[in-house]
Amino acid sequence: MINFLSYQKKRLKLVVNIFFLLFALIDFSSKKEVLEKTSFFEAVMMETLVPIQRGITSVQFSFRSLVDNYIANVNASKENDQLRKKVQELENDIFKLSETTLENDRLKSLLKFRKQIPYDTVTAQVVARDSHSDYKVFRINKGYSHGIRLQSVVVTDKGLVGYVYRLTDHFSDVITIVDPEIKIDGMVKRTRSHGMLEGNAKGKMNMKYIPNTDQVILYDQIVTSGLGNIFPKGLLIGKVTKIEKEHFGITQRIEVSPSVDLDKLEEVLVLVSNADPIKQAEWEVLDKQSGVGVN
Amino acid sequence: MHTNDFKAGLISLSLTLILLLVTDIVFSSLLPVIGLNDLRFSIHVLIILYLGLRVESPYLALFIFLVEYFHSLFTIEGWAMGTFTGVLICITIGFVKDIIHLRTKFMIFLIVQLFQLAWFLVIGFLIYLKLDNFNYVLTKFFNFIPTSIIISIIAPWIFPLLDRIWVSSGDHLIEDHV
Repeated sequence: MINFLSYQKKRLKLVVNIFFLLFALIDFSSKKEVLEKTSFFEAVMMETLVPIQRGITSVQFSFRSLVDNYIANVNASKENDQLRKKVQELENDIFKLSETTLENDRLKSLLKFRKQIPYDTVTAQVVARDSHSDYKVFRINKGYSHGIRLQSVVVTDKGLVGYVYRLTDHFSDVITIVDPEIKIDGMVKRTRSHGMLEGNAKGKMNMKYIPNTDQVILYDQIVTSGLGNIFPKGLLIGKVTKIEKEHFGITQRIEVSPSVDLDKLEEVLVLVSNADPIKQAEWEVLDKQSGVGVN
Repeated sequence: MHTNDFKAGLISLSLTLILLLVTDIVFSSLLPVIGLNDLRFSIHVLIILYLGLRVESPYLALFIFLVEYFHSLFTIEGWAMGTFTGVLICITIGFVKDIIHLRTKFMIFLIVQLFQLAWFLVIGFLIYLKLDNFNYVLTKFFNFIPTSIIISIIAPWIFPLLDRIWVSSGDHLIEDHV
């Protein structure tokens, strides 16, 4: 009897194992683009958990500000007598400048940028990062109810950040341009040469398919080309920081540093313009597929 | 027997998932404060290795799926790669379980490190298939080394904690004690 039960268990385990192996393999192989459907359960979980992450993140930003502005300056004052007075002045200034003032400055520059771009925008705060370091993803505190849709483009006044790949009513997950999972069609602003940008896992991007004959130089600005139907044309992506040409190759290897410091992002703008009827129709289809806002 | 196993497993799994959620919330929000932007830990791999090494249940694959599903709320990685790798690693563990004895902290460290390496090989292969970019897998490997060592170091302290969780709701699920 015991042997029989043991045999039954083993058979059940085999069936369960095979089922989940196939289930996972099918899901893995069928995923062609970085967009995730948010189920009702996932939405409820995220809406519940994100405020906790948000609380921890706000402590994080305050602590980082203290480390960056205070301790660094105190150390500098010890190193150089001549700078001591200046450091003290700076310390006084820093103490006067509260987090709110800093935030206001950042928001002002965002507002200024906002007026320059022909899109409706939503300002959002970064509340958490991806729990896996290999993926360059973060979470913001605005979602479907604020007008954000799947594939909404995320920017700052410094340039392009990424796009929304998962969202709930009040929160969105943003995949950044340095993540190897997304490819962007970009062009060199000066020469108008087109190439494909993809993240290289070092916080930078590789620009591919630029012919050897195109005269790209260091610090050339790279902007979005508008191809690919996600990113509007002309958004600043970054600048060229490395060029490698091979004698036998027909294309050159170009490394691009993003213009936005993605590790220190605190506020971002999400483009939510519905002026483009084609984009609006695409969003409606994506909304139906993802189930967000339908609940 | 199956119903009892399943119920006992679900209670323990719920507690384990709470542990996973807490660590994922803390690590995804707090670690960048100390400049660890490229180094983030998640104990989902450790939990799955624990399940493979210590828990005997026909529903192990379902437990692995649930762990990965909850972990996917915090990462773009999704649940599929982790579930596939986790089930595969646990099947492998099943074959060599009889010769593994987790009686000392060092042995736990060693075994966890070894299976984390196996985990990386499978995940790395899947990512290579998906992205066709070996350099990315190589960079990922260099990030994996310190992270995996830290996870192996904490494993001898996490395993007894998980032992408590899994013993409390079903002694028969645990194979032997550390």
